[in-house]
Amino acid sequence: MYSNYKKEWFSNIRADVLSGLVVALALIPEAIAFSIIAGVDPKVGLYASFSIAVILAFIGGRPGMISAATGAMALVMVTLVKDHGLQYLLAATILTGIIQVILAYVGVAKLMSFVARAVVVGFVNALAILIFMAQLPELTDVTWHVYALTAVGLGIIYLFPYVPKIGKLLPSPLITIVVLTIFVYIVGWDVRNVGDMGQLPDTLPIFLWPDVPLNFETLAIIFPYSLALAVVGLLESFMTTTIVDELTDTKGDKKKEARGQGVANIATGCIGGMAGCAMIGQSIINVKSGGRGRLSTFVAGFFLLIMVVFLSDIISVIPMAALVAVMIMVSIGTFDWGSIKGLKTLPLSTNIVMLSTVAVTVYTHNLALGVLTGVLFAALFFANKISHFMYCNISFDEKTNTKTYQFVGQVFFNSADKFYETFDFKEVVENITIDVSKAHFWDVSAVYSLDKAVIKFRREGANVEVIGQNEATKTIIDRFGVHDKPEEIDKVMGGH
Amino acid sequence: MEFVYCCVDSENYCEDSCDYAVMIANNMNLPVKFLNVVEHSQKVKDVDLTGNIGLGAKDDVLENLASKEHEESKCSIKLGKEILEKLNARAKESCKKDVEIKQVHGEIVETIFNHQNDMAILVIGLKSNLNHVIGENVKDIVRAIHKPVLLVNSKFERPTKLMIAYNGSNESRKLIESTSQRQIFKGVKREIVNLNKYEANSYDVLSEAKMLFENEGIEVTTKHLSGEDEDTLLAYFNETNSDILGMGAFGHSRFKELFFGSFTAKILTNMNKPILLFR
Repeated sequence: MYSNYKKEWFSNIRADVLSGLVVALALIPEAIAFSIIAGVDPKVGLYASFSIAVILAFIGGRPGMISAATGAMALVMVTLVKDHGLQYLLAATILTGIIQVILAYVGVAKLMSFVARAVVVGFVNALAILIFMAQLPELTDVTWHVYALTAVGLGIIYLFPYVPKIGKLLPSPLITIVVLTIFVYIVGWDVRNVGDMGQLPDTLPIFLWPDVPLNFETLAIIFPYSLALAVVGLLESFMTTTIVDELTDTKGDKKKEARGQGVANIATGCIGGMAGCAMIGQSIINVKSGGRGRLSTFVAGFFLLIMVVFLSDIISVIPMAALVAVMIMVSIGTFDWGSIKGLKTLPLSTNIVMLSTVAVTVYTHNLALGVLTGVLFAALFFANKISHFMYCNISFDEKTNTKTYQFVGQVFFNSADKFYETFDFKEVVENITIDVSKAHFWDVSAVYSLDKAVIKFRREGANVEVIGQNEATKTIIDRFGVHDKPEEIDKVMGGH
Repeated sequence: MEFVYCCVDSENYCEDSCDYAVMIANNMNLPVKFLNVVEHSQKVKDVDLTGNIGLGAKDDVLENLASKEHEESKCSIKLGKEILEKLNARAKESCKKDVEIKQVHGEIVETIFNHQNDMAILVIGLKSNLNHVIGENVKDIVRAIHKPVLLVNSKFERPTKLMIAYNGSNESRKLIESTSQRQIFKGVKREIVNLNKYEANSYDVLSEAKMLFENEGIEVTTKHLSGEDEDTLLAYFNETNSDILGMGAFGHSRFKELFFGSFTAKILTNMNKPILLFR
């Protein structure tokens, strides 16, 4: 196949470089904030953001998407860090990468088709809420100074672009950070700053194998975390891919993205970084700024590292309130506002799927569980809707004293009871004919209810004849493949 | 069924490309198909450096981009249609076989790649070579497909002399095989030239090429040029008043090209007559 790798890198150089810079500036507060959530030094998140962004610029499947240390991943690793320390997190990061590479090759990307739109929306909203909630520790038990700084910061972020001329030339989150830092420095308020939160990078990253014993106990500790991280990471990356696809009207390669993320996480664990994945908010910022190609992701990661390593003294005096303001912006921008307006117009089942995804995620802090809940609800609602697609023509022939039940439609676990209840066992009839040639039996529950009905009729003394049972049951879904021919579809849909 | 494809847009020598395509179609007894690709530019012109996102950011960005591209697409579809209609009428005057037009959405190199199954030869117009810059697209197209490509970079003139640069490489042998078996040009004098420091080596290469043509009953002359650089070739091309240069293209990998530069690319930037390439 024709490859346009070069195009993915160099067809949009100016805008990619500029948007990459804008993103790099917004990535620094995020990486620091997510390190704090995970309970590690800011440098762990900063190294991770550099390494993940740069590696995925080369081997990711979705040009223009931004990947780095993320909140979704940080939330999963909190207890691991608390109970076992940083070295186990690094080991878990490497294992996460290995699991993701394996999942990529077994075709996990295809499973995304089971994730309904409402679940995606729920995921995005839950993520936004979690990012916001993660800022709350910085806003509780603090003096009024912090609230004032945060409020001013948000004001600058949203109002600065309206300043004539320079408003559109400088990223407003950067202005917020610069203005608040200088202000606090001059006024001398005693508020928490980045330097208080732990160590910042002072050198370029170096290769460091995690210092953990290589035995089964270690594996038993890290595996559950790694599995959750792998799933959460892939979910967020796939969803972000979908969003970037939609925004740029191009198609990303999810399998390649999954594999790339695995490799990036393995490498990140080896240089002392935490596991990461794609970021919805940053990717939107990138596309909005004009970033489209791989170059934008590369520039973002590369400049992040350069700035952090060489400006660490300056970064350490940035007040936390400035970062909180930027993170609140990311949270607001990530939130799918359209879905709130949609609550009134969308069907109740869709809303329940969305809200349950949000509720479970926010409660457990685990996006994988939220998505699982959403998918489950979506599947149940779907089964319920499909079970309505069944009806029965009942006719009675007086001459032969025969009652005929002709079923049309879908019989499966959810409609099996309804199927059984259609029969009138009280009436005394000599002959019963059950015609299921136009029904489709999807599973054993359906077959079982038919058998049950036949036996019941026989006990009541009727002669039972079943017509078309072979046609109906031979199509139990496990036994055959793809229905892409019209006549096959007709057979399955039984007259619909 | 095969076609002579002619890929056109507004900026390049589209009428001249059309004339060459029709001439070739008549020579090869094939129909012509004009192809116009409506492409979304990957290049973002107005960069937004504000860097902030607010409520409903995703929907706003999407709406913004969609409405911008809506206008752009409409405009380029209209422009493309006009060109296609114009060339359709122009080609029908002299083309012996059918003329078809087709407008598709997509990425240009990929679109051409996907059309190569029924493509006998591709004719494309180059942007004027005043700036001595050849569009990346053209290089990528030549690299992507395995069909002869005629690059039109000047006013149409009925060719009388075809010069074929031959170095014995796979690419150039393919060109000779395809041009000797199915004549893209008719009634032209053909000369095969070989750039080589050593005349003896040249002799072997040239007689091999001559054989290939003589097997098909086509008369050719041969010429050895001593030297290795493109200037020698270009000087001889101009000296002999040749009309079209045929050559194998991009024999080296992109990687090698990065360090040594590409002979083909240099020729492309310096020529002001059409070039027939084969890879």
